[in-house]
Amino acid sequence: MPEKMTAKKEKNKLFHVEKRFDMPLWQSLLIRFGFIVVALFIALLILTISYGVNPFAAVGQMFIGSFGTPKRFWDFFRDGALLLGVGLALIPSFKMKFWNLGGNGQIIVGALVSAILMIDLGGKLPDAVVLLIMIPSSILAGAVWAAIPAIFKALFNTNESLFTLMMNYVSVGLVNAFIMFKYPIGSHIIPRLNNANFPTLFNDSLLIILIVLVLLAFMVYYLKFSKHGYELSVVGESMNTARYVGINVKKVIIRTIVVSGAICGFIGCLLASGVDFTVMPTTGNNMGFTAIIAVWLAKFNPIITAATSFFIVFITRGMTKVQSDNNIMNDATPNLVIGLIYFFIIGCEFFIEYKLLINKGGKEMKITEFIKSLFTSKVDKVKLPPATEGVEEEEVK
Amino acid sequence: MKKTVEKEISVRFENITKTFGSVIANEDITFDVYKGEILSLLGENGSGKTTLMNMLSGIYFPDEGQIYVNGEKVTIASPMDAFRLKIGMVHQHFKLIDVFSCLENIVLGIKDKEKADMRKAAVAVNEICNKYGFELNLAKKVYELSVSEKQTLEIIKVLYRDAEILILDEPTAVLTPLEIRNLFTVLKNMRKDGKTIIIITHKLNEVMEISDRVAILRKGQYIDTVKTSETNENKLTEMMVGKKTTLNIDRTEPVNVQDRLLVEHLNLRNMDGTKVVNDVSFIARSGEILGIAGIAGSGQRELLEAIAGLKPGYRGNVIFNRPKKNLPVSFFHKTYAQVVNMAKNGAFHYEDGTPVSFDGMSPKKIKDLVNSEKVLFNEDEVYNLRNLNPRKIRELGVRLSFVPEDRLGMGLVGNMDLVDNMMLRSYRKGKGSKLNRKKPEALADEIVKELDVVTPNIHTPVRKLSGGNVQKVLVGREIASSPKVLMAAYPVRGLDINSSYLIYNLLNKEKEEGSAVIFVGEDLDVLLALCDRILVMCQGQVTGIVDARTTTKEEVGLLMTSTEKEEEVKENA
Amino acid sequence: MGDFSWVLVGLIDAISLAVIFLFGCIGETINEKAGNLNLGIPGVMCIGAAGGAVGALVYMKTIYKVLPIDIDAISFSFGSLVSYILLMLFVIIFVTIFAGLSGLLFSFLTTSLKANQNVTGLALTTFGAGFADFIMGLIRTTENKPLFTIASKIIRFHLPFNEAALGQAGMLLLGNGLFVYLCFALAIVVFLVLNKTRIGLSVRAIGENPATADAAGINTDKYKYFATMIGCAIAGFGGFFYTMSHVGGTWENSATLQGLGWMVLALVIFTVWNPLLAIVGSVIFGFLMSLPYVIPGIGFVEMELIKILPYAVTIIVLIFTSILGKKNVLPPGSLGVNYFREER
Repeated sequence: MPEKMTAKKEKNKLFHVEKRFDMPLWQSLLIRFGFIVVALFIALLILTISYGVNPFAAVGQMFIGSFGTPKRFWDFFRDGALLLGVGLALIPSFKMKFWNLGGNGQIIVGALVSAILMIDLGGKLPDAVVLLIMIPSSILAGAVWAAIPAIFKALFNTNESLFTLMMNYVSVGLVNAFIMFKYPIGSHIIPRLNNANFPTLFNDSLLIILIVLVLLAFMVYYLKFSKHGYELSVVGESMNTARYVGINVKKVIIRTIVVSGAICGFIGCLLASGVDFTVMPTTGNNMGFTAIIAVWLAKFNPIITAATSFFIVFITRGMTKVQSDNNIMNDATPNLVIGLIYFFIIGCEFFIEYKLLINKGGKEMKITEFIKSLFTSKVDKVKLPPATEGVEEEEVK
Repeated sequence: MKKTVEKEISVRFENITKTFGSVIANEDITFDVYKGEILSLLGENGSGKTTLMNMLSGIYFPDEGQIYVNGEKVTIASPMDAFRLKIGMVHQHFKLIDVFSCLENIVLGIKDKEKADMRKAAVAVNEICNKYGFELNLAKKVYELSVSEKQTLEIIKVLYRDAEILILDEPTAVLTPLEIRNLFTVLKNMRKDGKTIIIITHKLNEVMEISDRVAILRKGQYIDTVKTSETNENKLTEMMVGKKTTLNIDRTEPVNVQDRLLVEHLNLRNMDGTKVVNDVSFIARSGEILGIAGIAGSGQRELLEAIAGLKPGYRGNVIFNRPKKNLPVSFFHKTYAQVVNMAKNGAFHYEDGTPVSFDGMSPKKIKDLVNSEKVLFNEDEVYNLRNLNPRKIRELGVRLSFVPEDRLGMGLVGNMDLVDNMMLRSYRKGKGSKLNRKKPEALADEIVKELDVVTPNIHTPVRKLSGGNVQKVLVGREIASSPKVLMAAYPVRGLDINSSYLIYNLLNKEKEEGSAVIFVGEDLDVLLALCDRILVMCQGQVTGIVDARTTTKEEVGLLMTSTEKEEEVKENA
Repeated sequence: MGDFSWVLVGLIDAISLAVIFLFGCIGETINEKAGNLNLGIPGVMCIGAAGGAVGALVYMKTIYKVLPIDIDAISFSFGSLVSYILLMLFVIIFVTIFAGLSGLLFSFLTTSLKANQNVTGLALTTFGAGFADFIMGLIRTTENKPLFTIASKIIRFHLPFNEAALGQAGMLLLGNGLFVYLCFALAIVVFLVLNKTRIGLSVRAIGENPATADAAGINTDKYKYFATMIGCAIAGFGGFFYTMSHVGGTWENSATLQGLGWMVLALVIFTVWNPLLAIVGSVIFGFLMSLPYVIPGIGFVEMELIKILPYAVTIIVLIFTSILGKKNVLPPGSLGVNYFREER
C-alpha cells in the first residue's frame, strides 16, 4: 500500500486532455466529414419534424438549388467566388494573428466609393475611364479603412477585434448617410446604376470567378513564396522570433492589414459595380463574418478556403431551395442549418487537435478510437503512438 | 545525517524520486526539516531544488517516495492539498493578478467564508503585518507595487492561509540589499513564532547569515545537511559543485587570436526599471571560446540579447572589429557612388589580388559582380553596434550569430518546417519579392546530414522534433553563415550526452575557424573543459574573468555567488 | 433659447432602447469579465427573444384562458395579479432556459472543446438569428399574432399613473413596465456581485489571469461555464424585451435585433466593463439612437450621421484606454483566450 500510494496521483478527474500533433490528414478529413453529415442529418430532422419535409427529397433539392439551372449554377459559383475572395483577403491578417473582424466594413467602404463614382462620374466620362478610377479608389478605401485599426494596434496595441468590429458599423452609417444625401426623397434606395458597370465575360459571373481565381493564385504565391508572406507568418507565430531576426513588426502589421483591406475594398467594388449595381447598408451580406468561419475551418489555407467557401454557399443556396420547395414561409432555414453545421465543425476540431483520455478505474485510456469507431469501423486499424510518455509529468502541472 | 532528538520533525522527504521524460530531476532524496528552523536548500541551477519543493507544495507529484508532514504520511496532489497541510510556497514568478488590490489577491480562492470576507480579512492581515513587521498598503493595486512589495504580498498571502511551513524560492534574487535585510528580519520573526521556513538559494553569504541548517543538492542528488554554525562558504561550495569531473572535450590552443568584439560599460535595465546588466565590459577574441558562468538570471541572457540587438536602449558600446582577412564585399549600406569611390582608392581586389576598378560599369554590373562574391576587400573596419537591430547588424556585413536560450520561442518558429526556419536569417537575400527556397533547402539537407538530425524529412515542423534535434537545427543554421562572432546561450540545456558533445564539437570547430565564440553555460565542468577564458557574472555584474585552464570550480563557484570581490579579480584575464 | 421638450421625448424613447442595451451589456460584461469575448451575444439576444415569445405564447394558451387580464381596467383583481405574476414567471423561465442553453453551448465549445472564441461567437450569432427567425416563423401564425400583442401589453403594463398629474418627466421615471426597473436593479446587483463578493473576485481573476486563479484553487472551468450561462441568460432578456416590449409583440426578422446586439458589444467597451457605468452608457446609447427621430427638423443625412456616433465614441474610448494603458480600464487580461492548463 505505501508503495503504490504514490501511483494514485491526481487521477480523480474523469477526463484528461492533451494536445496532439500526429493525426494524418485523411483521418482529420474523415472526422470533419462525419460531423458535417451528422449536423445535416439533425438539421433535416428538425425540418421534417416541424414542416414535414421529406429528408431524402431535401438532399436532392439542395443540389438543384445550387446547380439546377444555368443561372443557379453560375450564381452559385459567383457567390462562392466572392466569399472566397473575402476569405483570401482575411487570411493574411489571421495568419498574423490579427483578428480582423472588419471585413464587412472594408467591403462596404469599397462598394460605397465605387457607387459614388458610378453615380457622379458615370455617364459623364467613358465607362472605361470611370472603371479605371473606380477600381483603385475602392481598393484604396478598403485599405485605409483597415489601416486605421492596424496603426493603432501597431502603436498602442489597441484591441483590434473590437476596433475593426466598430468600423463595420461606422461604414454602414456612412452608406446610410450617403443614400440620404443623394436620394433624400422617396424610398431611399439607390436605383440600379447602369453606368460604368463592371465588364462581363459571357455572363455576369464568369469574369468575377476568374478574377477571384487569379486572386487565389496570387494569395497562394503571396503567402507561400513571397518575402512579405514569410514575414507575416513569422510575426504571427512568434513576435520574439520576428524581433530576433530583425523584422520590423509594426511595419509588417500595418502592411499586412492594408493588403487585407485592399482586397476587401476590391470585392466591394465588384459587388457594387458587377453584382448589385448599387450600394446598400447590407452590401456584402455579412460576408466579412462568414469568411472568417470559412478561413478558420480551412486553417488559413487559401486553397482549402475555396472548398469551405463553396461549401457554405452550397448549404445556404441549397437550404433556400429546400425552404421554397416545401412552402416553408420561414426564410430562416439556411441560417439555422448553417449555424448548426458551424457548431459541429467547430466542435469536431477538438477531436482533431486534442487527445481525450478517459479515466476508468484509475487507468487512463484513449477514447478517440472508440468515438471514431462509432462512425466508421474502418479506423480500428489506426494506430496512434503511445500516449503514455509525457502524460505523467503533464497532468500534475 | 545528524538527527537531533530534541527537535520535532516538520517535514520528512523519504526516497523521493522525480523524473521528467528521460531527465532525472530528483533521485532518492531523503532528509528532514525541523519545526521552527530556517533551512537553506542549496544547489546549482538544475540541481533539483525547485522540483523538490514543488512536490511539497502540490505542483508536482513524486514518482516514488513518501512525504511526511508532522510525522504523518501525506499525499499532496494539488496546491489545495498543500494549503490544507499548512504548506505555502512563494514562487520565483509571482502568481498575482495585476489589476487586483493586495487584499483581493490575498483572499482570492479562499473557500472559507469567514476568511474570505474582505473587511475581516483586512483586520487579520494587518495583524499579520504588525506581528512580523511587514509594510504594505493593502488597498494598492498589484501593478503599482515594487518587486519587493509583490514578494511581501506573496508571503502575506501564504501566512494568511495559516501556513506553518513556508517555502521561498530564490526570495532574494529580485531584492536590493536593504530589502534583503528587511526580509531576513521578517523571516527571523517568523522563526521565533515557530514557523518552519525553507529557502531555496545559491547565495552562500545569505545562507550563512540566515539559516540554521543547510541541505545541499547536486545534480538531482542529495548530498548532505549541515549545521550552518559548523561549516563555511568554502566547504559549502565544494559540496555544491562537487569534485571536478573530467570531460572528454578536446580543447585546442587558440591560434591567430584577435580582439573581435569589445563590450564597453554595457548597462541595461529591464521593463520595470531594475538594472539587469550592470557596467559590463569584456573582450571576445577570435579563435577563443569565452565562457560566461553565473547563476541563472544574473544577466547573461540580457547581455547576449543586448549584443545581438534585441534590447534597444542600453547604454555603453559594442564594438565589432572586422577581421583584416579578405572578405567578400557586401554593400547593403553604401551608395553606388561610394562604392565606385572606394574602388578608386584601391579598396577592393579579385581573388588573385588584382585591384578592382568599377569605372564605367553600370550599377547592375557592379551589383552582379559583388553578388558573385568574387570581389574581395581587406579594409579593416570597426563598427559600433550599439542599439542596432539584428537586421541592421547584418546589413553592415557583421556576421554575428546568436543561439538564444529560448529555442522555439525565439530562435526558431515551431510551426514552420526546417527549410523555412533556415530562411529566417537569409530570406531577405535576392532580388524582388520572391522567396528563394533553393538555398535553404540545400542548407537544411546539409544540416540534417552533417549533424545527424533525426527528422522524417526537411518539411517537418521543427516543433515535432526532439529537443536535441531542435538545437542541432538552430545551431546548424547559426554557424552556416560562418559567423565572426557566435553567441550561444545554454546550448546544451535539456540535451542528452551525445547531442551535447556534438554541440561542443561544433563550438570548437567554429573557434578553430577563427570565430569568437561566447558560450553561456550552467555546468561548471563543461565550462572549465571547453572554454579558454571564463567570465563570471553575478547580479548583472562581472565578478571576474578567469583563465579556464588554470582556474578551479571552487574559484568560479565563489565568484558566481559573491558581489563584493569584483575589484580584485577584474584584471585577471 | 429654443424648445427642448424633444429631449424629454427622446429620453422616454431612449429608456426602452436602453433596457435592451443594458440587459445585453450586463450579460456580455459578465462573459468578458470571465475572459470570454462572446461575439455570439447578438445571436443570444435573438434566442432570448424566441424564448420570451414561446413563454408568452404558452402563457396565453394556458393561464390567460383561465385568468384573463383586462389591461384597460383601472382596478386589478386578485386573479389578474396572479395571472400577471405567472406571465412574468413564464417568460423569465423560458428566456433563462433558451438563452442560458446558448451560453452552455458557447462555453462547452470554447471551454471544454477549446474552440476559438471569435469563430464560435460568430457561429452562435448566425445560428441564433436563424433559430429565432425559425421559431418565430413556427409560432407566429395568423391566429397567434394577436396573442403576442396582448402579452406585450401586459408585459408593458405600468401602474396607472396619470400623465397629467406626473408630467412627462414623472412618466419617464415611473411610467415603465416591470422589466425596466428589474433591468436597472440587475445592473446594480451584478456590479455588486462582480466587485464586492468572493464569487465576483474569482470570476474577475479568471478573466485576468486564469493560470493564477487556477493556482489559487479556483475551478476555472466551472466558473467560466456559470459566468457564460448566467451572462447569456441575462443578455437574452435584452432580446425578449425588444420583441415583447419595445416593438409591442411583433417580429419582422432578426436583423434589427442583431444590429442592436452588435451595439451591445460597443457598449461594453464604452462602459469599460462596469455595469454601473453601463446604466448611464445604455441610456446615452439609447438616447443617441432615438435622437435622429426626435430632434425637430433634423435632416436625413444628419440623422444617419448621428447614428454613427455610438460607434465612433466607442472607438475613441477604445483608443484612449489603450494609449493611457491604465490597467483598470483595459479589457480583462485574458479576454478571448482559452485557458488550457497543460500549455505553459
